[in-house]
Amino acid sequence: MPESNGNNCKHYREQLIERLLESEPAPGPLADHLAACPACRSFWDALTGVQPAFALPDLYTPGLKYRTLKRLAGQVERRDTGFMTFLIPVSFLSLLVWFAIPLVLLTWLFDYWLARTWFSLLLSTLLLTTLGFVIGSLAFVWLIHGSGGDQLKPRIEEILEGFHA
Amino acid sequence: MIDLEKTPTIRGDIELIRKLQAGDFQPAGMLMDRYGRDLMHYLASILNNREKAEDVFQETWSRVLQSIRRFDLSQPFGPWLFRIARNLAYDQLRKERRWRFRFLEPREESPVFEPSTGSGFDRQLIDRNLARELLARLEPMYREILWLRFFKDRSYQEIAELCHLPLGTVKTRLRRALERAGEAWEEIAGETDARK
Repeated sequence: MPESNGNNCKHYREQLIERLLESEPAPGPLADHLAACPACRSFWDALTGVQPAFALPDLYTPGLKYRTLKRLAGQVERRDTGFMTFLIPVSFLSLLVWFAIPLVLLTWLFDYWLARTWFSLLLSTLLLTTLGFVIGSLAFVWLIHGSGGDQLKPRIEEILEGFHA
Repeated sequence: MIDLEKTPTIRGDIELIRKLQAGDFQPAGMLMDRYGRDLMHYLASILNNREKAEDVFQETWSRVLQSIRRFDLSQPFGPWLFRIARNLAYDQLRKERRWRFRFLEPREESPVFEPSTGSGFDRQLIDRNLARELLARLEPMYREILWLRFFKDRSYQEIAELCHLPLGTVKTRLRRALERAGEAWEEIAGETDARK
């Protein structure tokens, strides 16, 4: 690489950057310095060479378009089933019917008998969660041993085998 | 924001975007053909890696599809699309930085801006290689702003809108990018001298 001329070159290089920012050609003294100083000319060539260096082959290919569209198609398919949008209100409704409404009724009932609101609320919650646990366990047992277990049982066995292995 | 009248492509885009908003994803292909080339180039200029640029490209269109219903048709599509891509590209860089910090990952593999190989002392090849080496050494935000200003010939105002930066910051960043390029050039010059 050509040798530079210390501070003098630094000053000219700042001016060269300024010229580039303003998209203006180098004026007289700067052009003279560029002609005389190989280091600054090389610096100028490097900076002005940045623009053509960005010229790359086309990176947007038919393969990329195909992969992207395939991904979008999958996304639309999932969206069209509307599973999640359906699931959220159903979950809320289920919670309301099977937990919130019985909880309010039971609390009201216990409070009527015991006249202690917080204790009634705690008792109702315990009762409902225990009931939920018992019903859930019974449903699980029925799913495995009953008619509904035809598909679930092999899957559970598979998971257990994997766990033991 | 960019005026509707000044961006003629938006007229053609509107119909395609309306279809997208109605749930038909097929027009995405046509929009992709219109913006894909520039978008990939832009992402490559930030990420300096083709595979990563392709990943972010796909993620960008996926996000476009997710949020197209919220897109305001009185605004041009291009800057909106590029802003999504830009945010995702910088998210990707942030993730990489965290990863690199934890596991000391080696320097970038298969960069887009790498000196090409060629036989002989072709002056143009040497200049281009030097400039590509320069670009590879720059930080992504500097490569991005140089690409927008000097390759795509975007005005300071357009860059400010795209990058969500004040006009003054755009000018300062551009100056800093050129200064950094100058420093990188000196580093390369020093390494070349040391090899002699």
